[in-house]
Amino acid sequence: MSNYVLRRLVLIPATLLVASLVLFWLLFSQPGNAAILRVGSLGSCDECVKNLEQRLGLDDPFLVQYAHWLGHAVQGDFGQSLQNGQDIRPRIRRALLPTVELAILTTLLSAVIGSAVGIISAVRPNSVVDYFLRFVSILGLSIPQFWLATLIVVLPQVWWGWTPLRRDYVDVTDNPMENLRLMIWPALALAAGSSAYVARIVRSSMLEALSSDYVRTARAKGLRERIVVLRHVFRPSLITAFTVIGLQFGFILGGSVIMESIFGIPGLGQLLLSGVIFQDYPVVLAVTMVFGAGFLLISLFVDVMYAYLDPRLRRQA
Amino acid sequence: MERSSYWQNYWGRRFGRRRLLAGGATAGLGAAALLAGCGDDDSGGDKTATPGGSQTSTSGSPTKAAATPVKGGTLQLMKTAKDDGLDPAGRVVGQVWEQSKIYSWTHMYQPSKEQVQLDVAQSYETPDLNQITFKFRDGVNFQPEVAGGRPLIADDYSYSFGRVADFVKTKGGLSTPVLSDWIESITPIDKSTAVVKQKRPFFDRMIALGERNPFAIVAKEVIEANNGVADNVVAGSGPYRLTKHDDSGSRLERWAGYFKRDKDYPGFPKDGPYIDTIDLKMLTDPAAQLTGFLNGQFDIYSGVTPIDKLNLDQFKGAKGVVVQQIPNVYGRYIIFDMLRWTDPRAREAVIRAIDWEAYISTVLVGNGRYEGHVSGTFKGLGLPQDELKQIYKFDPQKAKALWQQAGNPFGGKLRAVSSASGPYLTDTEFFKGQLQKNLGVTVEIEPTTSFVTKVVAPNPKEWEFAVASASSYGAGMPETNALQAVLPNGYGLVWNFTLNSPVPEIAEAAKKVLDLYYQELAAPDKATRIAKVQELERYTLTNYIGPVPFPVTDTTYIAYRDRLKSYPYSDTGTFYPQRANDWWIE
Repeated sequence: MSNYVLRRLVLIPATLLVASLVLFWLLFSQPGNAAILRVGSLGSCDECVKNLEQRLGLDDPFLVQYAHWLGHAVQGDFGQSLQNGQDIRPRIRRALLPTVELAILTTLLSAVIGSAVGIISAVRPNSVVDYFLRFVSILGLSIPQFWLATLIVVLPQVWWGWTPLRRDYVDVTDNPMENLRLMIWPALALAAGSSAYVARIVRSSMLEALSSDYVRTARAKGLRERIVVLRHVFRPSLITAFTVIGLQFGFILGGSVIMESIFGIPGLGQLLLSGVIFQDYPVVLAVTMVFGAGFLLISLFVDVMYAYLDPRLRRQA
Repeated sequence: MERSSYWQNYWGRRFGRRRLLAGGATAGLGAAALLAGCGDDDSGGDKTATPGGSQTSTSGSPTKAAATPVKGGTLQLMKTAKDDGLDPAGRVVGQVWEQSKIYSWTHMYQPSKEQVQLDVAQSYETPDLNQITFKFRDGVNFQPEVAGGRPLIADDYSYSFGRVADFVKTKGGLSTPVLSDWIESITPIDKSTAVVKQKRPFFDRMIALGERNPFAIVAKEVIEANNGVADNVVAGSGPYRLTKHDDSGSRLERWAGYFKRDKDYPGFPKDGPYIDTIDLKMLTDPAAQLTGFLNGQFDIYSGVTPIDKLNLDQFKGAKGVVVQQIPNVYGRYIIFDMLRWTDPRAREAVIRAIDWEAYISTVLVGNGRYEGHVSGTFKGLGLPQDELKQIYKFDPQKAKALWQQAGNPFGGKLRAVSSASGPYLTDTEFFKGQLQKNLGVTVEIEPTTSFVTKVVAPNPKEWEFAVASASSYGAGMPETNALQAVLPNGYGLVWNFTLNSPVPEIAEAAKKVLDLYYQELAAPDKATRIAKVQELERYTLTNYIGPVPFPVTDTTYIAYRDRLKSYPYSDTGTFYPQRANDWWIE
């Protein structure tokens, strides 16, 4: 098992390296650059664009630019924003907390809502309730999250003159409750899709478990149905659900880009969006690397926990 | 049992996989119960809208400044775009509020009253058409964090201007050369006097010098200590100190040490500014911006798209909201690449193939006016509507004939690029229908979210025409907005309308436009100016030199909360409102 973990840990930097190379190339291949965005729209000063490209190192060949960026990035130095010259590292540090918080909150909501729906659906298969919950699950998977988020912001204002938007963003370390009042809504919007996915996984794995021999034995022992479902069916089903929930964490990080924009949360998503708009490739690269590293670490954690929770896999490993 | 040993025991218990799974299930169910009861009763003090839809609209009744302004309060604003830095030498995206409040200028220009409002200049003299002398006030200091709060002197003004050209060239800045390329030098005579010497006469020189960029006065020490850039530091002497500036927004707090004027000036009262704090929250999503405003969280609705007749309904019944009609401040263009559209007959054919009256009655829902290169918002300066109507007269037969005479350019296949947001896609769809029907061409539309990289930057252009917008009233002078689109020393360059065009006819037209432009700039009086501006506009429009402006909504609307007093709505779209110090909150 430790060999497996070690192999995976070694693969993380390699994966990030390849991802950074591909991303760098994609950004490099785009028409225009930050220098053009800053002065090019005036069109009156080709020399200005050239000077700025030279100063920002944008006139270097692709590999030189990449090597320069990589040399600093491996030391944790993501350089400065081309947009306003600010150091990127402190900006990422500040933006990380809201995004991670949003992802954790969403994951928790997905797990709780998804599990609850999955259990109810599984214990009453093909009932009206099951059909209804499955319909809601499909709806949750189908509705675009940005659209749902816009409705969450706009409709309460139209109906009741209230909106979940907050005038100020309050950091969780300053006022957790006030922070929760803001974060719960984007988390709910993000959780709509992922909880539906969790619900379907929990339902199917529980249905499989319900028809297994050990459940029949548990019932034969005379255990109450609630105990059978929660202890002997739901608990082992959580192993599968745990994997799905863990992997969803990565997708939730990606989904935070649009949520942060709608709810005005100063997280990594907003930082990334502004980087994309201004073709600020150091910012785009840095945020993407943080997202990538987060996703890879979570995947590793999920795999390790999966093996830990399921003794059969541990033995195979 | 002692407390410490209890916790030691607790943490010492075996944390096995069964316990983890059981704990996970329990925590999940517990959290579900907790969240079920976790509502948002919004007991905070920031809720201003009344639930239940029983609000009373004050729409249509603009606020009047009361006799006695009240000091204090927090102005709540939304910041709709991240800024590209705070340096006034060339940063112009997203930071108008911050720059306006942390820096000082010699003066401001108020377009609606055509008035110069003095700021740190005590007076100015214009002995001839090529020189201005500014006298600075006594007692104006930089903010405490800036250069130790030392007095602002004439040398600072000279230094601030002197760094602009180099800043734009080497550090990237969008400050337009039109604003400053008429200046030979700004020289300090003594501590309180500076002389602006001009390369050539410039009719709108006082307007240009009052512009946000690049004439804000910075402290040399701060700039030099920060590698020549004031993007992330404050180097000004303005009435507000920047106490927060990050990805969530900005905060400006009134500086108690701001100098007192010797008397009340319009927009700049002796005891101003009145508002204590200005909070700017970063909110980029248009739906969230509107909702936040209607909910009372913001004092001014400054969405990206101006409010027009079609979306006025959104404000009906909103409590405490003033909706005010103002002149439209946006122009729109059909852009031709002048390297490819070299035959004027082809350009004319496109414009004459579009039924502009139908465009006004349908797309602009009847609220439209014809627009030239000099916007109609500059009353009496540009060509009159009747003349514009003739230039834009819909004539499909003539259009088709001209198109054929020009040799059916581009094989009759036109690629159009339009911004994916705002009204531009609707415009482009309308033009597509008209051109396909009246010219017999095919038009393929490509919406883009990055206009600069898709449309502006590439050269040669990979499209036949583009549809774009420009602020037509932003600077109080046509040369820096609507007219600049077609100037060979302005945005005209972007569309290859240049003096060194490889196409002789285009190079000749560019020279003609530039000559007419310098003639109108050098006009000694208003009557001559109008005649010269109209001559210039007549030439650009009758030759259909791109970008060609097309009709715009005649009026638009702004919305703000009625607690805001002395809001200078008449100059919205210019720099003046942000700079004025007479706003107050009831």
